[in-house]
Amino acid sequence: MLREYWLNRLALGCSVAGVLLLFCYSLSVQPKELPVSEIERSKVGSRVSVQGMIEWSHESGSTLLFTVFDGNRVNAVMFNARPEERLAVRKGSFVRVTGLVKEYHGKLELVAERIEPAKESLSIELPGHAND
Amino acid sequence: MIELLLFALAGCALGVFTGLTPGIHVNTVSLIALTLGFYSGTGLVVLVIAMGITHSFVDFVPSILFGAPDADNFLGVLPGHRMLLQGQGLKAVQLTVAGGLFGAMGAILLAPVFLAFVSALYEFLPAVIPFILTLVLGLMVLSEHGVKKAYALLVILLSALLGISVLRLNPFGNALMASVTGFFAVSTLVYSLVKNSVLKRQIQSKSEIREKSVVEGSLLSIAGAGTVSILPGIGPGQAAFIAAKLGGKTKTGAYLVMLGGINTANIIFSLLTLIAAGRIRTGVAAVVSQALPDKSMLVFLLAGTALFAVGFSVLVTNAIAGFILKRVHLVPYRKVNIAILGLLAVVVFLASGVYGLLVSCVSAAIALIAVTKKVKRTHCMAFLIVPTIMLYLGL
Repeated sequence: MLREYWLNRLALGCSVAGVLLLFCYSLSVQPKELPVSEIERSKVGSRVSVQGMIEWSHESGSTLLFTVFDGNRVNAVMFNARPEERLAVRKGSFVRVTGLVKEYHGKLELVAERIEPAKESLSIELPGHAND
Repeated sequence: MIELLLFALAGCALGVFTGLTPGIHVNTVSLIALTLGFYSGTGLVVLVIAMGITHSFVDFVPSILFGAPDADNFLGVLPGHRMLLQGQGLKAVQLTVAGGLFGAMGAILLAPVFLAFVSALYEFLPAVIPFILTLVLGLMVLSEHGVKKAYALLVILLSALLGISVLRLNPFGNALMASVTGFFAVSTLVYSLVKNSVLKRQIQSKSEIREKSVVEGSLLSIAGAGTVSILPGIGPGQAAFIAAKLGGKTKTGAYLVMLGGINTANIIFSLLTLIAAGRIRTGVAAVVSQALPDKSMLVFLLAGTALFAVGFSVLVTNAIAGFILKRVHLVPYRKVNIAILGLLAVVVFLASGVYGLLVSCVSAAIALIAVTKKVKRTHCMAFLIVPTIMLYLGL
């Protein structure tokens, strides 16, 4: 006979195993920190982090469109950005963007999941037109 | 990590809400979460998986204790209600809980095998399913004796005609929900009212479940859920019915374990089908597909979230059922039944309008023929089986 307390113990065991698996998942999907130049087609579907300067930004409803520049540039989009993320995305501000690399209309872009102010100081060689 | 756990807990809490509330399906809440722009990639995926798993456990509470099922677990009403009237409502819920626990564990353990063979099964199963379903219809008639065979045939024919009418010829929103509410909920409640059924004081002592029931029910549930997750047009209700018919004579205990197992394992297998073949079979899978384009690590996310939610659901479902059953005899059962009938009428009307109410009444009338002529009410499943055969034959 299978008693109720065995079911409860098994249930607790399942929950602990679930938490451990989620912990392992969290460790395994830590995004790779990459320079923008290394975002290429082989990275489509991968979660990455890039640091750079916001070169251009535009808000459309709850969607943020922007370009991250670290000597090379990549377009990025964020759906349903939170207020602090909207504040972080201002032209000239330095940010760390984490998201998925996707292909959109033949071009690579970053679908941002998190935007935060860059913690490390960045030295970026700005092209002439970016300072205009 | 903490964020993922919070999303999992939020999903479990939502699953308790959707499971206890008749008419609110987890697919609806999942799609609302997605369309409202509640977009957080991994977090949303964890939330909907935890919600789906918890819902699959908790939704047996209203189904068994109040006779108010949803479109996935309606077959639990009949044996569950029978056990409730015998004072064994808690045990009935615990049997489905045990099924959910072992069904989920089996589905997770078999995930590598399923992922390896799902493509081959896609080629093979759709070709044989109409023949299996026709065989099931034949077995339904043959399972009765003497003149009851004629009544069984009558119930099957009427149910099939209704099914063809509302699911194939003139489908409308939530037709399945309106039909199963009539066949399995309204008929049960009306019959209880007519017979003046009295609810016994429920047995609250620690119950014991036969290992044989658990093993038999769990194996059938894994086979059924694995199959249903691949086949379009077949839901957990049909899978449970086919598995029970093809699995030979199944006792009530094993049957309830199987129903619980199929409901939960179906969610896990549907996500494995999404990973392996990119096919979307449930609302949860639809949300996961859109919210998480990178599916490389989804198996681990699925297994972790599912195990966490299963553990939570076992404890919470037993606690909720125990809480309700301690008090249920304090309320006059007749009044409870009338209140639930009223609630079901409102839910069906809101979901499907007057036409839905009409379909519920017709399906309840067909089910009552089966009840009064003492043939199995599960013959009404022809309303789903026949349209599914037509779907697979391209009719």
